[in-house]
Amino acid sequence: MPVFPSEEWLDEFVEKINGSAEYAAAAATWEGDLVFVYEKEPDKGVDEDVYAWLDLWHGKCRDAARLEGPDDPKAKGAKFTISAPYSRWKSVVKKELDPVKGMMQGKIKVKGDLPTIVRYVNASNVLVDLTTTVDTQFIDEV
Amino acid sequence: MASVVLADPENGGLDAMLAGLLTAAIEQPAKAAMLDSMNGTVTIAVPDAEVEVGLRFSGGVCRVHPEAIPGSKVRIEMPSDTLLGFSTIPLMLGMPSVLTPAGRAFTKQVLTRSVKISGLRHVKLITQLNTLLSLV
Repeated sequence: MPVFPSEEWLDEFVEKINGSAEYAAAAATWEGDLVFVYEKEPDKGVDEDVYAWLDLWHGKCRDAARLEGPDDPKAKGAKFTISAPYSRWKSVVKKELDPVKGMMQGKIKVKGDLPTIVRYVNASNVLVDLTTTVDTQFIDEV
Repeated sequence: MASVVLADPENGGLDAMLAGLLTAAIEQPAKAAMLDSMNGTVTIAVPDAEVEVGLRFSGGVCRVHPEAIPGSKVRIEMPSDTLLGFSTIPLMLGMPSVLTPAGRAFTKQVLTRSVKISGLRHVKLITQLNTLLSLV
C-alpha cells in the first residue's frame, strides 16, 4: 500500500485520475498544471515540504512528478498551487475535511487565478475525491 | 481607480478568495466603473464553513475583511457549495436568472431559506455585487 505523500502514492493517484470518467467529463476543457504542497511536520515524519506536480489537460493527467522544492521551474511556473500542512491533507484524504470549506477557512491555501478555480469547482471536487480512493498508508502511521 | 484591498493579507481564506474574484473582475473596465460607484457594506456568511467575510465599498475601493462588518447594509448567508457555484449562475438584471436551471435552483434555496438575504432594500448594492462576482 503506497505511503502518503510518496512518489508511489502520486503514481496511484495519477492512475485514479486517468481512470475516472467523472473527472474526464468535469475537466474536459481544463488546461493547466498544478502543484500540491504538503507542508512539513517533522513530528509526523514529514521533514521537508513535499511538492507534487500534476500536468492536467482536458480531463487527463499527462504527467506528474515529485519536485525538488519551490525553486523547481515546474513549481515556479505552475498555474495553481494548493498548500496545506501534511496533517490537513491527511484529513482531506481521510474525508474528515471538506477541501472547499478548508479553503474558505484558510486551512488550505490556493494560489492562482480564482475565476478559473471557481469555474472548475466540480473538477476540483472530483480530483480531491479521487485522493480518497487511493489505498493509502500515512507516513505517521507506518 | 477601482481597487480591492485585503484587510488581513495573512488570513488566506474566503476573504482572499473573494478578493481574488473581485480583483479579476475589475480588470474589465465596465466592472471597474461599477465598483467605483459602489457604496455600502456587505457581510457574507457561510454557516457550514463557520466563516464570515465583510466587504466595505467606498470611494472606488473594496476592502475585504475576514469577519462580519457589524451593521452591514446587506447580509447574505448561504452554504459553501452554493457560494462557490454562485459566480457561474447566469444573471438577469443583476439577480440569478430564473430562466436557467441554476438560477431556479438558487431561487428555490432562497425560498426554502437555505440562502438568506437581508437588506433587500439595498437592491442596487446587491445586484452590483452579483454582477462583479459573475463569471458568465
